[in-house]
Amino acid sequence: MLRRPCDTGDDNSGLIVAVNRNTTTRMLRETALVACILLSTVSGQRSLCATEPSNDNDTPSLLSADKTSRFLHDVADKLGSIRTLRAEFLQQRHMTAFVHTLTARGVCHFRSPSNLRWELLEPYPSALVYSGGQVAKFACIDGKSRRIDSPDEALMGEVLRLITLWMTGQFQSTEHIFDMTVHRHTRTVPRLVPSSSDVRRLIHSVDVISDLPSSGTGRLLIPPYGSLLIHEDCTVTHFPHVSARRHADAKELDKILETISAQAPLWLKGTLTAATPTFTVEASAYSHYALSLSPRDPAMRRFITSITLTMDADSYHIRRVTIHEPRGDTIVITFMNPTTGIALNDSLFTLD
Amino acid sequence: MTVYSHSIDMHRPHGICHPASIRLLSCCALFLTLLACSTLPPYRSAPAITGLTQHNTELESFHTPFPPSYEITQRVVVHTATHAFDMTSVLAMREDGSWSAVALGSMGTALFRFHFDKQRYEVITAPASTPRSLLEDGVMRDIQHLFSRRLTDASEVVLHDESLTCLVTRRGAARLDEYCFQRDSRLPARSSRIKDGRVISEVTYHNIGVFPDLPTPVPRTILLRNNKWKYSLDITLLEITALTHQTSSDE
Repeated sequence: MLRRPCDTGDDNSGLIVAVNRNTTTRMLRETALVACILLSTVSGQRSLCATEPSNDNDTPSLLSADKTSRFLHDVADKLGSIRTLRAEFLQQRHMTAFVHTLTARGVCHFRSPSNLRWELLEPYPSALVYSGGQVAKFACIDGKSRRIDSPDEALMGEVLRLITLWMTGQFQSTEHIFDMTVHRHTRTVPRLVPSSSDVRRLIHSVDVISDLPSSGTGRLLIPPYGSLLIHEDCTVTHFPHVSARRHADAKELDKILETISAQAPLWLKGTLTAATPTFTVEASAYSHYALSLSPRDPAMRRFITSITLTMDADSYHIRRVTIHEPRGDTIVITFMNPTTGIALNDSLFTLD
Repeated sequence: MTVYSHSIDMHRPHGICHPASIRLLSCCALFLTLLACSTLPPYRSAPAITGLTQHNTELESFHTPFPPSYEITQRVVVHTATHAFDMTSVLAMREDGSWSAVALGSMGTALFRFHFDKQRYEVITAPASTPRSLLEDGVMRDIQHLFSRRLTDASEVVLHDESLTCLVTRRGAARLDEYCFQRDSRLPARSSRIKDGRVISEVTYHNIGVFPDLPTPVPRTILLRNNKWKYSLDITLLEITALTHQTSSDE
């Protein structure tokens, strides 16, 4: 079956739209509230929903040239083995001339060595397909999927090519394009551990990570299911990975999350103790790498100041790409729930 | 991100824009050929405006449905004779009549940026080879027609036929905008932009519905055909937000 932007009901995509709009809308709202409260109370910071907290305990350290080289080598080793990858993403454009942040959501599929499908699901469906150095764009027009043109199709080809290189850790092959610096960030974040062993059997911990200063979002990491993304305005764009919905105890999981949501009014009062005795609060060290890419070419620097890739310290998966533009605009692409080693149908990468 | 590509060092074997520049320029050349270089058949003359009424008390009811200052997000599909382009656009319209707009590509890259203030049309960002006249005389004037204030001191009401009441707003000596509404409901039906008696652009309004924060219904779908530059725009409104204060301008 060919996958086209007009298609719906793709059970492999973990459709954000479906998840958000259908069965769990209410729960998501409630969980968002919980998450916001957690972020504001557990971490001892000001309200996520009202003001921007500081990252006081974030200690970035610049990697030396030797360490950077070793880091890039390790990344290439680890990511180089990736044959397929699927990740959901949230794409936000912050524009100085406009009040609103333009938001799009979607899912990307990658198959080594150079096949990438960048599919937007919201605000309207469309897909960019990169395969064999060629790019095609598909859009849903009048209810029908059509291959269409794009004024920036050629540039998109190059951007998508770079993304495929980065996804497989081939940063060193772009060293002639960008100056690179790498920082390792380490900070202490609150980890909530369910007090009940029955609950712990399903959810063993929830890490609360605020990325507000850099991206305007915060995350709840709920391994192994995935992450929950919370915005400054307290809306939630994601829910733990679709595998949670397929869990043998999915109903039980839902119930636990409902229970968490039900505690929101208590947490609204603003103290972490409101989270107890449901959770035990622990401290957890959270590390990530920030790889900054600055264009070498002055002509390119007129349009891109820098690109920052945020990578998990353990898996080296790219969590976020932030593109800074000289006018002060930024494009932030946050990846969630990456899954590797999955079978991907050829039709995902068909150009016609 | 679009514009820089034409001036990137093309000799780097794996430069970010090495193949892209060539393809992008080709793409732009094609775009221009389609939009600007085609032989334009004559477009139809506007019907003579007759039956101007003096019902100026009616004028107030033809105010734009939008708030004084607002931001609107929309999907825009541009059709030419042989191609279709797909963009997301954000338009900030301000109470003083100035506005800024940006059109974004699939990955959030700014393809076009426009700014209008004090009767001056300014193209801030566009592919280098796209003619300014196409953007200023075509696209920006169409945006102005669609979203600026309909009612001015030079507006009059025309009883077009039994079903439509039209508002004619003169924009200088040679130009006028005509906005026609269903007589009963006062909902927008069609409009046109006319210069020297010729219909430059024709617009129809569809899927009229209520958006949050707006007191009156607005069309969710706008179809515009520009007869002069030979393109059409399918505009789908995604979000409209009233602004309570002026935003910073693009300049």
